[in-house]
Amino acid sequence: MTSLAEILLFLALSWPFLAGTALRLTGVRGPVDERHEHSTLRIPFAITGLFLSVLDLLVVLSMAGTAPDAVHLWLDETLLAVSGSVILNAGLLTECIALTDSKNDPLSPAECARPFWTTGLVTVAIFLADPLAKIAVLLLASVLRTALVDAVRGRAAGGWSVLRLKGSGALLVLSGLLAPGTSASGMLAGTGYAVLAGLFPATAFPPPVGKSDLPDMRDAGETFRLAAGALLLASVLNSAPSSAGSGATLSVALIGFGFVTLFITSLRMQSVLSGSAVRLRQGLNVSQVCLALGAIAAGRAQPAVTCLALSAPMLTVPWFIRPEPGRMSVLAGRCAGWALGLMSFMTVLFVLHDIATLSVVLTLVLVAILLPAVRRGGRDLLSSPEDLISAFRRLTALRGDSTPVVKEPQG
Amino acid sequence: MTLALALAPLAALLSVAGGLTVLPILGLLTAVSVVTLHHLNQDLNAARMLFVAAVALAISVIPTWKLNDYTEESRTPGTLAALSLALFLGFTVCASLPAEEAMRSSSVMPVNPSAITTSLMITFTGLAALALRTGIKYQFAGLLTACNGILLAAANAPQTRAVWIVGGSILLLVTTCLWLAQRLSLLRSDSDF
Repeated sequence: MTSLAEILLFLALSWPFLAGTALRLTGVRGPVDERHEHSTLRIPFAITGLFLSVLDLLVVLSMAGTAPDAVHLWLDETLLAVSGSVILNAGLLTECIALTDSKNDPLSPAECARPFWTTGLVTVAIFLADPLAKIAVLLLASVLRTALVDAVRGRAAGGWSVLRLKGSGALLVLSGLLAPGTSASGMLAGTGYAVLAGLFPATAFPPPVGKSDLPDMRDAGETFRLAAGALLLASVLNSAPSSAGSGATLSVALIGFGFVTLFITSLRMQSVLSGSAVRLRQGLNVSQVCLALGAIAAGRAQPAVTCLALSAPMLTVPWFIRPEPGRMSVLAGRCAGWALGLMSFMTVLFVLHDIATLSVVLTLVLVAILLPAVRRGGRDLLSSPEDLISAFRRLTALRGDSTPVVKEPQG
Repeated sequence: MTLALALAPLAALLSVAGGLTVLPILGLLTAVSVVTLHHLNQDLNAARMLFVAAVALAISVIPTWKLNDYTEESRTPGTLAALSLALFLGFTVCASLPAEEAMRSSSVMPVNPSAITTSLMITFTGLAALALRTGIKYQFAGLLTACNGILLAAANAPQTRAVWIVGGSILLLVTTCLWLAQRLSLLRSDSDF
């Protein structure tokens, strides 16, 4: 049983790299008209990754009675790490289904392979045992993403701004981890993780330099997975801190940054004008809210709530950002709005339940911050049931004549 | 506390104002501090000391040499804000994190406790420049300053493994940033503004 678990873990960790390399190679070999074939390979590859991580989760759950934390040589297979890898792989699969090839703007082979590589690196970072190695691998994922995304001419400024942010966050975390035993250590590490996870001083979806205020959509899912990976690392570190003093300051830093981010994002949600992109903007704002809620849960050492908070935007945000407005994407966007609203509301309830045991004043502050955000988000994200039904009717009525068969979205 | 260790924060503050031209001095000071740190404590292996010193020298000298030909805009705003933030952070570090606290409270002994404060001051100075200066060459100089501080802290840390991980990731980060900085500086001199 133990050897089976080890083989499964090795397979689940190495699969994204193998899949990404295979996508890259097949993409190079095929001529232009075969591009369709290699891009359809993405979805089976992502399904395989998700299947492997779910199997890993099942094995870990079944072995939980005998050996609670299987510690390998330099990997640490905790329940939080395995569920984090399941969430990351599910997010990758959702992005692969949502961002299908369009005719006029096809995905290049490197663009298909890059999400697999960065997701694999984030997963490895969650599983590693050494905190320094974790943050080094997460930085490697950011560097790889920047090097592959911004290799195109004219995008170096955006790459520099992303790398500036991630580099300063990673250096803050490193300086916190390298100053041992002091109370400042936890504060520095918490600030660094907040910067990496896109909390208050930064934003989770940085807009490109000198363009519109909407972020670049094609790699928004990847940006969110990197931020979520940083939050999972903070959660892992907070559940097993190196010393008692640094653990306390780390959780205080995470909770504080979460509250400030909630306040800022709640204000920003009020000022979104109703227009064409209102659903997308509110979706991104709600994702930011979910990151902040996840940070609060991580600071309170509630890894399950962190996983719930991260899984809501991870599964739904790719549906908001489909490039071409088709009939299918209208229905998918409506369903994703409902799913995101309901799941983030559930997260709000769990976080409130947890904070209520801590202090009454904090609970009141949290309710006061969140009420306007819930009201506004509910108005903009949740479309009326009649709207949903009519979108579905239009889809089923028109499917007969010429529409290509698209997979039914979840939601 | 050696002389090189005491002069390193001053060089870091100068690099906020002076940009990449001051960085070789800072790299040299960091390398000398790392070497003297290890002379104070003989039972550490020489390989990690040499590695840290070599990385500090490399990330300070090579970007300065590579980016020497490229021009930056003549205006340099943000110097005052970055300098005052760096001074404030350095003062906060000195006031709130005396080296004795680390000696008393930690179970693992660092090599030299006073180097913790110095490395944090250098890192904060670099991060202030990275956040508040405008112009990619000055921001890059801030990133390199912060990397020097981190390297000093890594050489000071008790775990041997930390040095290799931190040094490797810093080399990777600096290489990518140097590539981006070269491309951005080229773009700026081409488009002529």
